[in-house]
Amino acid sequence: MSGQVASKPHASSKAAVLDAIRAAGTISRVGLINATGFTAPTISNLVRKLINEGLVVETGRAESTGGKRRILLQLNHAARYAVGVHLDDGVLTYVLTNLAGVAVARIARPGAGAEEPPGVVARIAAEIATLIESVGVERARVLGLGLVLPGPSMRQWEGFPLGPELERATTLPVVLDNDATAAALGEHWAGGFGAASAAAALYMGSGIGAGLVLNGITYRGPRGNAGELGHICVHADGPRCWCGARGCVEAVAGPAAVVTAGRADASLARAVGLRGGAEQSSVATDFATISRAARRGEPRALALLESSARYVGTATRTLVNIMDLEVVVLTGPSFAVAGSVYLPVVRQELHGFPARSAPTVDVRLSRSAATACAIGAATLVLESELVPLRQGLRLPGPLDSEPVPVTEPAG
Amino acid sequence: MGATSAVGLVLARPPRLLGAEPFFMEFIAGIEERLAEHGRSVLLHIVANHSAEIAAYRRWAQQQLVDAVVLVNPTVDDTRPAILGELGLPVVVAGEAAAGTPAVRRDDVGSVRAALAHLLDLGHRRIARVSGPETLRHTRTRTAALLKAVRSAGVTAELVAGDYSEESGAKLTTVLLGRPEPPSAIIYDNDLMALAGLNAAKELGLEIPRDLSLIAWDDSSLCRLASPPLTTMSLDVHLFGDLVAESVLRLIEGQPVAQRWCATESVVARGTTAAPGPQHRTHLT
Ligand SMILES: [Zn+2]
Repeated sequence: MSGQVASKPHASSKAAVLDAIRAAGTISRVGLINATGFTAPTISNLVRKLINEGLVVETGRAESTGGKRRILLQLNHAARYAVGVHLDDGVLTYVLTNLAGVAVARIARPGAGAEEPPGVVARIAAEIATLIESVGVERARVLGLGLVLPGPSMRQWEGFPLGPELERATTLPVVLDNDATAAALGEHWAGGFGAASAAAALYMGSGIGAGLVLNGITYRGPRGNAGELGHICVHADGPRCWCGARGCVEAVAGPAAVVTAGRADASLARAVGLRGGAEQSSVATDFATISRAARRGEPRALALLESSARYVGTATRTLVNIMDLEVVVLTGPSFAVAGSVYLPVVRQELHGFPARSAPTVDVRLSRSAATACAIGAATLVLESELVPLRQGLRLPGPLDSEPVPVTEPAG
Repeated sequence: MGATSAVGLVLARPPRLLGAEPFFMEFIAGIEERLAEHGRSVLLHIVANHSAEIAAYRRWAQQQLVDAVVLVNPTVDDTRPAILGELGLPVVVAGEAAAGTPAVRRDDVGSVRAALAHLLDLGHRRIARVSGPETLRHTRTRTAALLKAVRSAGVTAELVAGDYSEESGAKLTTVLLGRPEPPSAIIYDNDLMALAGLNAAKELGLEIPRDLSLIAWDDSSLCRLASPPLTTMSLDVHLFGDLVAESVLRLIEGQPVAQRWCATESVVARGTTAAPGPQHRTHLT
């Protein structure tokens, strides 16, 4: 399945084996030898440990191809859980995922808005306790809490020690990250990138970002700014972006730009049912409304989205060219509602140039686009608790290290 | 306002299927949007089986974690409304329910007729359907409606039951197409099975829609993005969720809740339905 495992700098050999089992879904001990490069006695020993800890279970046998049939191993999905929280202006989304990074519970609550951080921390802790209780999972099986942080518009959070405060309030280990990176890790954990060694999750919520996964590791850049897709310039003389630059794709064609254009077009606003004035909904709600109208075939809504999609596709082409990406997954709440409109247009932007012998890029929709951030937040915990990497390798990432030759495991 | 401001919804199915089901996320978004206006949320819980679903209701009632429950996928001889009643949890059924239980119904009969009429208009006479599980009430309602409609149209229909998964869609399509007199058109009860059926038919060397017409249920991104794009029965799923939320809100406020209906689903004709090919016309009299 994934040739990345052998080249990933895991903190321990046990972490490497667990990661190989996760990546494969189901795999035999012989498959693990091929995937990790460890000896048979080492694999046998580590698998026994993982089974004793309850993290891995034996699950029937593989199809026989002559010789004896091999026992298959897989993650014991219900062995551990992780909480993921996406903190946003408008909405706080909570999920509880199992060991496979699949949501078993989800709830969305009113967002932080202008509320002061200490109050929000107390509320988050109480709501997490209720979520765990509602699923009936023993607290001891919950590995920790992943939190995806608010956008730059939430000034009151600057300087607030959110991680430590949440750790104190919840008594859970806390891991923090940004939305696009978390979404990319969630996609990677759930197998959405397949065996690609260079992949990106394009995250579209009310803004646009990209999370990169290179050789199975999220790449954030030395200052956490890698993958700022929303600020790729698609029009040198374009409108001023909130970041100060001109013509950023987010300013030209992001969800907020789409919604602004939709609200300004009175007949469109009437046709799709956008509410104006004091009744006006959030960007996310109005973007979803326009998207549903486009999917029903409303021509003006469709034209608006297709135009946005062309710019998003243009920016994506830039990212693909720079990073030599093999897989791009569209995810986040805006792609959850509008992905079927964007996907063909983005594909066209990436594949529509037969004269250039560029390798093909696989562009897909995420299977969990609507809840990608919160699920990704939970997988931050799964990764850091179960398959940690060697210290010092997290930032700035392994780009400067020589890639190890990839071996394809039998599993 | 109630004690928790949460409304519970349990999906009993393997979690791996959830992300693959845009229908449910859209439905939940519809409920959520309306509830949020009243400071309420949807607590979604995905469990593997029926007994885990009942255990969740008991836990929620005991610990007062939800103010009401939205019950999905009502089954024949469904025991859940009675159990929820004993637990004191108000319930709104998304689908068919016994008289007196608040429900938001889909017009399954009218929608099946619309799907069949689309195929009959194109000239199809050998029709098959890959249904969802036969334990579900709406599966049986659609089956009865289809059998009645084909009888009065004087055509035949072959019915096989799947489980909504891609695997069952592919397998049953291959079975149907392997029969001595294969159907010229297949109706599927969801999007995933139709998509898998489309791929299975293409792998068998059939050209779609020349050699086989397909209609999916539950229009989703998957249907639009299929190649060719799938003709589907389209329900406004978001509005369905919205109607359910309205009933829930009335119920929590202690007001009487009438049974409500979604609009009849319409055919969205895309690239997988056409007149039957010459090999099927030879079967006509
Ligand atoms: Zn910018």
